[in-house]
Amino acid sequence: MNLDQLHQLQPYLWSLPRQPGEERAEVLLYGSAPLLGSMDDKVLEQIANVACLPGLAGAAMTMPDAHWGYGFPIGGVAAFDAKQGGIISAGGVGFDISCGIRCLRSNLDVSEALPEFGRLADILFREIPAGVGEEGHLKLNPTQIDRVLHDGAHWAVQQGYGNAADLEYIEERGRMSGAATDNVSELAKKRQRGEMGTLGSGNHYLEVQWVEKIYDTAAASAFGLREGQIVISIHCGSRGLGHQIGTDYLVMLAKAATRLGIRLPNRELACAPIQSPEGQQYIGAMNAGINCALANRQILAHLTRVAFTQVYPQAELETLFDVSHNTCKVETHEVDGKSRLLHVHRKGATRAFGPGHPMLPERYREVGQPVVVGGSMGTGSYILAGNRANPAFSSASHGAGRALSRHQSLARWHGRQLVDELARQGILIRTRSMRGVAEEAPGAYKDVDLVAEVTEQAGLARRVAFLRPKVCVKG
Amino acid sequence: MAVTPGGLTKLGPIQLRAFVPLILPHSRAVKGADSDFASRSAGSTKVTIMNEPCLGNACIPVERECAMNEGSSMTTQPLPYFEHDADIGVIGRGPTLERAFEAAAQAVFAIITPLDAVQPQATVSIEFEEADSELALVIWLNLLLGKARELGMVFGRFHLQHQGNKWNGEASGEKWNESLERGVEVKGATLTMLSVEQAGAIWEARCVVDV
Repeated sequence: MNLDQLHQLQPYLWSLPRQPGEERAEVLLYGSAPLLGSMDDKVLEQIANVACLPGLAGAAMTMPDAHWGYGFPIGGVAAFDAKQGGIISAGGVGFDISCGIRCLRSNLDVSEALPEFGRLADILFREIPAGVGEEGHLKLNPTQIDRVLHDGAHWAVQQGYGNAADLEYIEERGRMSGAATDNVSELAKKRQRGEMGTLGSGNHYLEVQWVEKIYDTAAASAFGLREGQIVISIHCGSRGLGHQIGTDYLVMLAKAATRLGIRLPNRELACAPIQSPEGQQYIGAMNAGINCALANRQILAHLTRVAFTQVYPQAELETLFDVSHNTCKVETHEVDGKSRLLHVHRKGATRAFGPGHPMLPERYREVGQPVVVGGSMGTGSYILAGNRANPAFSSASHGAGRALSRHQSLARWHGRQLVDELARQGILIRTRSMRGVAEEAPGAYKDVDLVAEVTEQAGLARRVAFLRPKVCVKG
Repeated sequence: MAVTPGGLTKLGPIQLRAFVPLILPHSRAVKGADSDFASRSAGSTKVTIMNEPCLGNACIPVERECAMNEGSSMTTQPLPYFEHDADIGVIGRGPTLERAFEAAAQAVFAIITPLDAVQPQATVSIEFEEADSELALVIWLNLLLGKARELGMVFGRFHLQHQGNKWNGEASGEKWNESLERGVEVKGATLTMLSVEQAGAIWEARCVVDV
């Protein structure tokens, strides 16, 4: 991205000036010059298009890890006001509805766990269905699927996957309200019946990590984190059901936009007014998709516990938090001094409520929401905490963000060589897809340290802990 | 029986079968497919599971935009793709609109597994209605992805024809098994970089797929 076309407002905040005659809302980009400079121009094009959509409240924004996506850019944040003709966009949520990260903290120390990492990796790989074409241990009938879509992680706990204490530390307390199971197609439900409790593929993973560094001792204490501690991160989403909801509604919303006279700069933004029948239909289906993702990660958390106790009988794994980073949620935010009820799209962006927010669990109320920024399998991840004065509708980065395309990665790396090289570094990879490993090579991602640092410097969230990977099950 | 312009024998309102059936010893019905959706209608889309493979598609050789091979083990065909930061841009080209769509389907499924290894043991038939050829591409690819996931299959061969707004297609492949190399899951075809154009004698269809 050519920075000459931007106006620097603050050290880590930039705007895209409007051209004469250009009618759109403000575009704000959070990031440093090196991060923004490394982004594709398409990021700017996509977020500028988002700023043209009706009913936008405030600015359309990108996070420091933004990259070129479909519909909205990944790392895109935009809030819409239903009362002012605001829209809901399937392209602003993505196919993998409520893709996110479940983070578990353990009572284990890396030094005591280290000798058994090989066995742990093998058992996790056996217990966690991962990769394209893999089905889960569960086979659900249509009635059960509807319960999943209505009750989310609560359904999973009722079935014996995990415990009620987990629910407190999941966004929406584990159940998204407003799910309309009738708005989810039969095909979507059929796709999911064998996919509950599966990790998926692409950038999804289950990682066993250890806390290498604590940045914020007060927040770390509230999060139950200490240096040397084993932590597990599970990155996945709503699986086939969410993908099918996205599929079903993408074309429908594109047509609705045309029918309703919404002038789209690009058809990829497929959207409808929130208050339109199509908009309401999608929101109901999307909320069902969110519940599917919450239940899926709850099952995977349980399977992880089962695997751990086979290797470490003394292991206790508690849910630190479960964040979603592909959603649209109704939240109250202040815009231009007025409190407004908004539909906040976060496409590859994490909600980051600050201290005191009423939706946070009591344990985190004083320090803010845990924000998990997932890095590559060879580098590491960060846990941050939300800030009270977050200027981006309480949003922050969600990952390192890709620096190279999948094609570039395949041209540069071989999966087998990467697995061997990472093993030499003490990171054990288990995968069914060497192609997947090559596409997800550590070098294909931006510098996660820089992303986390800039996220903090931009005032979006503050660093709490750095996690170094030791075992990675790749989808 | 009437022979349609696409060379297929029309058997009924839903079923389509290759006019010259390619009989393979492994041909079989899809196991585990519910009888209630073996032949059913989902809106304007109808899907039929058949136990005979369709003809291999007529994808013409194309130049390599960029090959999505990991080492040399994934695809041996020079399928074309275009660059996208997080996902993958697929391109299908052919002498007709239908062949271009078939080639695009090949490009999508080659991300999932090497197509050379996929045996056409069962065939799925797909019908849909769409007037907009660009949206038709997205619908075609997403129906294929949806059926593949629903049935636990991977497809390797595709055939499509259309008349006006009506599109009739087939995909043949097999259930996932240990002999198939695992690539990367494709979540869906998007409206990003979506185009269907004719340049001279060649049709080209392209879009970004989410992986």
